[in-house]
Amino acid sequence: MATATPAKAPAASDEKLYRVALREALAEEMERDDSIFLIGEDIGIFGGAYRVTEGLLDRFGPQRVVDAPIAEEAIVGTAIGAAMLGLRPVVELMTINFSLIAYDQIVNNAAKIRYMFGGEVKVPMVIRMPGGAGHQLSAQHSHSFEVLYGLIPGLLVVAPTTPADAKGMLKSAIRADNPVMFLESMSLYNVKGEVPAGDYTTPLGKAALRRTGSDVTIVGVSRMAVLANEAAKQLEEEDIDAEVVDLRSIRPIDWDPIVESVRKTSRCVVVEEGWSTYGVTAELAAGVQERCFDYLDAPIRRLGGAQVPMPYNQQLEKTSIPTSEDIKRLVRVTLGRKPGLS
Amino acid sequence: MPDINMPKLSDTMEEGTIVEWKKKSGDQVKTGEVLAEVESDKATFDLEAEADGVLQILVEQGVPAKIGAPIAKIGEAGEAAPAKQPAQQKAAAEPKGKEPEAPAPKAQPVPAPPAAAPAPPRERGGQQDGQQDGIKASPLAKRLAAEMGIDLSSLKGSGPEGRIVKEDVMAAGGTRPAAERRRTQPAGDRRAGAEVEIVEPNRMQATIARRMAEAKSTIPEFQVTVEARVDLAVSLRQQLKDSVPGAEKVTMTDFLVRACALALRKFPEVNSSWVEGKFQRKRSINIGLAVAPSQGMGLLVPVVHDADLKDLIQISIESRQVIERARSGRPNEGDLSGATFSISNLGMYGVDEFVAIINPPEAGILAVGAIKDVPVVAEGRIVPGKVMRMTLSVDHRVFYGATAAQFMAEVKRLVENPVTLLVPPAP
Repeated sequence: MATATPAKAPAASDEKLYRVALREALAEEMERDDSIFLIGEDIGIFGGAYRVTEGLLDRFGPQRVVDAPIAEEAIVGTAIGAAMLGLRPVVELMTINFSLIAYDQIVNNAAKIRYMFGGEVKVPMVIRMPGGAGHQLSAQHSHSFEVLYGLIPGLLVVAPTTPADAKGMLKSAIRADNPVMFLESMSLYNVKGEVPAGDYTTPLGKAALRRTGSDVTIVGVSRMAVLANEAAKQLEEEDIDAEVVDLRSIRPIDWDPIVESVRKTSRCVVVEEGWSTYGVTAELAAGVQERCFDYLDAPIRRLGGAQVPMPYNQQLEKTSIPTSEDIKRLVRVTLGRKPGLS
Repeated sequence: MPDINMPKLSDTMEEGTIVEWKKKSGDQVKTGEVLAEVESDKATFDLEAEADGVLQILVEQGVPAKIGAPIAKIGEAGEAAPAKQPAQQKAAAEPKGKEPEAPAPKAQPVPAPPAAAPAPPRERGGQQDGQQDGIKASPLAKRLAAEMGIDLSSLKGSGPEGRIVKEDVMAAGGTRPAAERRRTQPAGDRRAGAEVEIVEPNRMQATIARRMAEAKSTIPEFQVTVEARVDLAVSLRQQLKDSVPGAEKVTMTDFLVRACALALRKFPEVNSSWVEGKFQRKRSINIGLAVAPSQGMGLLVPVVHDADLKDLIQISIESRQVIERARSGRPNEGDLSGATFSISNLGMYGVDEFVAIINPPEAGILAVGAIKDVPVVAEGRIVPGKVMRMTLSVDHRVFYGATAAQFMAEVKRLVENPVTLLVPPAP
């Protein structure tokens, strides 16, 4: 069976914050392998803009927890060079919005060097960066740029949505021999969840089946997978039995569990926080259509953020981001149900 | 402004219902365009425009209308409703530039979103999806229909925008998807009670119920059963299928239609009715064939007209066409009316024999069982043979036991000597 599931949790597990799970992954990996170092803005003395690296400077010293100047291109370039020479850098960019300044380094160097050097060097590095809107950070600082990295061959792109996945996938990312774009979500840092005790990894490149159902498959990207799950729970009241797939890996896309699910439910709704035009959901819809055409009982429906620069106004911002209500509405449309009717 | 009236589509049709208007009042329509789907007591059929012009709907969908009653009008562009513009005035020159009172806008402008910022789920993908040969069906529905041999054009879509979806195909095929079963039989306390589900009959089912109860309670009937050897008929049928163009699909029922037509000619009293205390002898011999509709429960009786004037191959071709048209819900005029005698063949389901209920005003119906391989005694020896049992239900007011027996003996003789069925019809 192709369905991917999170790594089996060992017997002992604990409720932890997403940010804490990330910190544990960093610390445990740094203990394990001293070629790993962290570099980013305010990650040392300040403990990180989102407190992920708090305490790591004291624990591992300034050689391995490097506070960098505000120069994303230089930070990423430095990390690429270090990775080519045998270290394993883990970059923190304060948010994905600032990665645009480093986009040339990521796209033209990180993603291509191993290929252009005929495999003689590799670039084992991780770039961690949170994205997403909802915090009144306005048009320039509210992006969901999964697609910008998802379209680049040579990169692995993942977006964990649970504390357990955050820890397990960050460990896998650090151990990977190719550059990994590790997309966190500002809105998920304070989410609590069971995290298995001890050392474990969660494979990259695998989607997770979050919920089984028979009427419709909802594929969620990043935080939208969490909302999809909420929507699916509420849809039970309307006698709609939705299956939820958490994409987790944006590049490569793990088609098998999605295809298996859609062939079962014959309906599909895809959801992302970013713009759906040319978005990850556009790719998902196209891929599902190619693989499941003769199984589809309704058009695949896409849901994404409003096609506007993110408004600063709180109400307008709320209106621009997909909600679980929006997901429910689209599921009803796909099933041909009238709103509110059970 | 020509009226469109509720057409009469069968003998028993008294009123019809517009299931769905395919056009709106104010729409420009062309001759031959489908205006509406109309349900009679027997079938659903398309109502086509017989003139070009602007449609004005008089009877809304879901409202029954007596046959002959006006249900819509087709007028010229700019022509207003007759109540507002009497016919005399119409004779004068059309006032130029006078627009219809309230022309339906060609396309509804998209209403402005209520919020200042566009809300996210505004995707309008898939407008053309599933549209093929004018039938809107999902890819899954198309695949299933092909696998199950169901004609999509005979189905009505229950999905969004009238799309035919999986459930429609499954319902037509007699199976319901698992999800549907789960919904209609929820477990536990979610929907307690209701041991019995109340199901509304469609018009066809309501008509069958009324007419069958009427037939059974008013007709003094009796039955006559014969068993015929059909070895020769079976092998003749095979020969026809193998070697005669046009006869590839000839059925045992076609043989029986021909046999009954010949027997009815010989016994005109069987081809009669009892109407208001008098016999009605019918000149035409029109044979109704009881068949199941392609979807749902019910009964259709498509009619082969003038069966005595047609040869076996003609009957075979025509009966197949008329059955197909009836099953598709698009019968031609006369396809479902005018029968003078009926045949109900349940042989393909393996029944040995059965008794059919007379469909008034006909006086007889032949119920046909399966062809069975049995030991038979021929010239004092037991040999393998093929037999078929046929039971005639008789309206005793119209003819009597001796006639019934002679009629059945004649049918039996013809079926057992099937070469007689190949003789061209006498003029």
